[in-house]
Order: sequence, then structure tokens, then C-alpha cells
Amino acid sequence: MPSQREASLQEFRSGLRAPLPLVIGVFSFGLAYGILAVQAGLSFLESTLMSLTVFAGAAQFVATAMLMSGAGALPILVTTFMINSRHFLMSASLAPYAHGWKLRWKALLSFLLADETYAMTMSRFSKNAPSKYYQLGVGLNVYAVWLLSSIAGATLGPFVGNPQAWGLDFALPATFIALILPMLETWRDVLVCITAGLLSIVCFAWLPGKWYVTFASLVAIAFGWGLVELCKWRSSR
Amino acid sequence: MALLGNARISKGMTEAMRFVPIAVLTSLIVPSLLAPKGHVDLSLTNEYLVAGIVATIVTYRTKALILTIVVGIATTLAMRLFFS
Repeated sequence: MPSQREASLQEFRSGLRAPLPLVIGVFSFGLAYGILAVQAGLSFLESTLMSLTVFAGAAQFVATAMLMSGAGALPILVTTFMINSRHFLMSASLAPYAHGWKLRWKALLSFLLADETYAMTMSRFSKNAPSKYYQLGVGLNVYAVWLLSSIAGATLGPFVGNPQAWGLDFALPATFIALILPMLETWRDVLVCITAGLLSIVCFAWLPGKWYVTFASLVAIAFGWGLVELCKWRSSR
Repeated sequence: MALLGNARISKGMTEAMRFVPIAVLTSLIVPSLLAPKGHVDLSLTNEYLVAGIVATIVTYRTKALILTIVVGIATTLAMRLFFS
């Protein structure tokens, strides 16, 4: 029987290993961010500090684009808050697993939470016993890759003309597609996915900023919840 | 996570939580594929849409993430070279 410490270390190691297939996706995205940030007029230090302290891909991209178009601090704050409002949903769904963990652990793991980290941790915890060391490993891996790639991007920035010319901007959509598809295990998952897709495109046209993400996903989740309750109600009759 | 850690969540809601990543990621990605320039573009000259379809097929058939990304980027690049 392995000791507590050994078990924790083992969880940490498998956490570190888990995102390895995602490294290329995260790296390309971070590289693209670094290049774009430098081209938007941020210094090497500024773009690296943003990756170090913010650690949120979509928000950093939007902040950079808005800085480039001359937006003030408040619009940038509001927009990035909205984009990251999905973190409320993601961390709420992880919260039951974190029951009993110390506050400093929760704070650290909350900081390290990202779409990729979330997807890996959630799929692991749904099958295995939840471990904060596993989540720490996943988070640190993605964080390190994000930091290194954005440093690489900021270094390369002045030399590369346009990240779009390399097709690097498609790395993130491709990563997302590869993350979503394996999650569709039941017909309810598929229905929720279709609902979210249709709603997001409608909301995209009607709602300001990035509100469409929050609104469409909330309604699609409520729809899925309704399906679950409906199935329970029908089987109990 | 820190704030809601001690909140009680019902069983049905816990089951519905599995829809969260599906819904959030889908609603994040669909508009960026169908309307990459800010307006809905369902034509075949929309490289994001074409690369998105190709990437979906690759993921469905192979389940290989790296292959999906490489083929997706290559499709985007090829479409841009072809149409510019």
C-alpha cells in the first residue's frame, strides 16, 4: 500500500502528463497571442505579465484587440469579465469535488482553471476519485505551456508578419472541436450541443459583446437539465 | 470554486453539470466558425466553416487531437492561399 505522499505525487504526475496531447493547441494559441500582443503595441514585458497574471486565452486576445482599437480600461474590464463569466459555470460544476479542500488550494486551483484544464479535470473526476494534486498537475502544465508559448510569440512577434497568414488562428477552434466531440456520449448531450450551437448564433446576432456565450450556454444547460428531469419523471410513472 | 464550495447542489443539477462544458464550448465556437468576420457567412469561401467541418470529420474518424489541429490549420491555410 503506497503512502499518502506517494499517492499524491502519483496523482500530480498523471495530472502533469494528461494535457500533453493538448500542448500543440495551447502552444499555437499562446504563440499567436504573443505575436498579436507585440504587434498591438504591448512591450515584451507587458505581454508576458498579462500571460503570467491573467492566464485566460480568449480574454487576453480580446483585451489586446481592444487596446489596439484604442478602447479605455472600463470597456475592456467589462468585456473580459463577460467572456470569463463561463468560469462561474465551470467552477460551480467542479465545486462538489472540491468539498473540504482548504481555501488556499481552492484559490490556487481556481486561478489555474482554464477551458482545457477544466475539460481534463472534469472527465478525470467523473471516472476516478477527485484529487487536488491531479488538478494542480494539469493546471501547472497548461500554465507553463501558455507562459512559454506567449514568451516565444512575443519574441517572434517583430519578425512574423501576420499570424493569420500561417493559419495559426485555427488552432483554437480545432482544439475545441476535438474537446467537444468525445463528450457527446448520449442523445441528450447531442441535443444540448445542437441547442447551444443554434442559440449562440442567434444570440451572436442580437446580443452585444460576448454575451452570446453566457446566455446561449445557460439556456442550453437549462434545456439539458429539463431533459434529465423529464426522463426521471417519465420513468418514475 | 472557492465561493461556491460549500453550497448545496441538488442531484438533478449535478447531473445537468455534465452539459456545462458541452454548452459553453459549443456556444463559444459556433459563432466563430459561422461568423468569423462578425456576420453569418455560410458560403464555402468561409475558411473557418470549411476547416471546422474538416476538423469535425477528422476528430470523429480518428479521435486524434494533434491530427485534427494540423489538418484544420492546413485547411485554413490552403483555403486562404486558394482564395486570395
